[in-house]
Amino acid sequence: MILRLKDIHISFTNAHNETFDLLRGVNLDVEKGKITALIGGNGTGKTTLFNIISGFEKNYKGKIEFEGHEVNFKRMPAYKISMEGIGRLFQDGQLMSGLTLMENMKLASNDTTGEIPFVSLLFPNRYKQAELKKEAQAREILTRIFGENNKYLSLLNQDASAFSYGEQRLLSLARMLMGGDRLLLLDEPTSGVHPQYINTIAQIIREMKEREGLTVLLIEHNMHFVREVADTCAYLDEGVIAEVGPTNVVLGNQKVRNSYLGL
Amino acid sequence: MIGQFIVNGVITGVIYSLMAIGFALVYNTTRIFHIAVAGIYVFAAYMFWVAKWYLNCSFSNAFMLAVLLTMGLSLLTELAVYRPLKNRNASTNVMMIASIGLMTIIINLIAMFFGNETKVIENTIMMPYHRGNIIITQPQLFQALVGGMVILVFMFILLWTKWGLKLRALSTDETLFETLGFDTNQARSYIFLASGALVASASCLTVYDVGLDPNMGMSVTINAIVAMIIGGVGKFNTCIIGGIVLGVLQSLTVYEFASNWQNAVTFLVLLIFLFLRPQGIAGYKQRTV
Repeated sequence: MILRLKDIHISFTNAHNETFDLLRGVNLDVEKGKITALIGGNGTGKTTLFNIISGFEKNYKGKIEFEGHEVNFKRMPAYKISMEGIGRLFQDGQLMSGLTLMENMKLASNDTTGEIPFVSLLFPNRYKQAELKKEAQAREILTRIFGENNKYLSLLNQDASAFSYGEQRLLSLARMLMGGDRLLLLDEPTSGVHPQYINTIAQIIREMKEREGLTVLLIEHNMHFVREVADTCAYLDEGVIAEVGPTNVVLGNQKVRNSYLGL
Repeated sequence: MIGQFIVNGVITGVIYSLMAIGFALVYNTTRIFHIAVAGIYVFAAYMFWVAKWYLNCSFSNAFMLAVLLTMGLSLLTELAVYRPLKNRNASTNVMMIASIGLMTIIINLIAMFFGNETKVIENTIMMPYHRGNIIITQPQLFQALVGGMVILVFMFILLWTKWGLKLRALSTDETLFETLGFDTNQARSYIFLASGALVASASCLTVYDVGLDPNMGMSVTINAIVAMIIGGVGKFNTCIIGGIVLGVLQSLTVYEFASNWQNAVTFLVLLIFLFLRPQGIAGYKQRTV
């Protein structure tokens, strides 16, 4: 088990001082090296759960175990959680505009050479070697995913804002392969993406699992996509994980079909 | 004659550029409308004056001491005011009000300790340099050379180092920046230190020429903000273009009309840009995804 969520609760208070319990005791085990899909209606707390795991939401109750150890996520800033090996794809945050595609890729590398100011000036050769290594890694990842002589290899110096939403989605997924993450949280990877890109996204996610040995926890509303990529499926309803198990079993469950899929 | 005004304008533009980058460093990365730079600018000037007159430092030592002390004050504004407010999820408006308050406190304290009268750094007569019809004074030469060198070093760091890459990344998306494993608080500390160094450089180079008083910070800050906007908000190197354009325009205004029209022209240019080209001279319209 790479991630274990134990009895996670979170409440919010609105402007009228009314308290609303969003998560009411979420228990979820995410198996290492598998793809787990988290499904559920809008506003059920899926993204909030991701915010808790990635350190952007601290006001929760419950325990989180990562790689067999209980970790106090409440006290850890988000960047430290990322350094522990938990990566995240946001619903809206894509590539960083103002930076080129190559710079975006290099930024995600876990090689920290040159991060301290002026180190690159004091040890230029070491810095240059590290940069060349990152550039080679970025080219290798893009070639592996999009094929030999793909167009992105010739657009490495293009500003990220020049790419379409769908392309940015694909490239930000590819960027996740640059770092040393072991658990990836993907928030609606196919949301707003043209159907022609969805197969590529599925391919990248499968690649993350099979070739890189990564664990993926994803939020998704596209049930065809979930059925295609996810090994396990967890259904979040009324603040708890109402159903969890193999994807086909959960998606075939009458309760899930009635309450979520409306079938 | 017009050549002289253009040269004067370019040199003034270098100072505006330094100040604009110092402001943009904080604004682009933290979204804090850092009006307190006006107070920090005044602080640097007085530290330069103290180092020169009380500690009998040479120009270069006084300059370095003032830069170091100003970097410290700039970092202090982040650690003592902005960061605690950020931790309380304060809005950008609250940050701006806090920044105005901070500026007022710094300027009032300086006026209390040093008085309101104008002081000078150098009271000897310095021989100017002649090149054809162009005359360049010694302080102007320092402004052009030292200011230009500071800008070049900053541009090198921004474009060719990992720290520069992180700086540009933070100015795009703080959440994503943190998700990629970077410590935002640490990056912000470095940003305030760098901002302090740039503002102090602008301040020392200016007051070496025209002297100092506690109320001189606001006008140069407003010019720097205008330079940042007309250059192109969101980037750092555009501040240089904005600063030089503004400096030359102001100088040509003096040549054509009179110096009291400078501010009117500055804000007229600002309005024209806001209406016709809000992304600035070298800014870009981002693709809406």
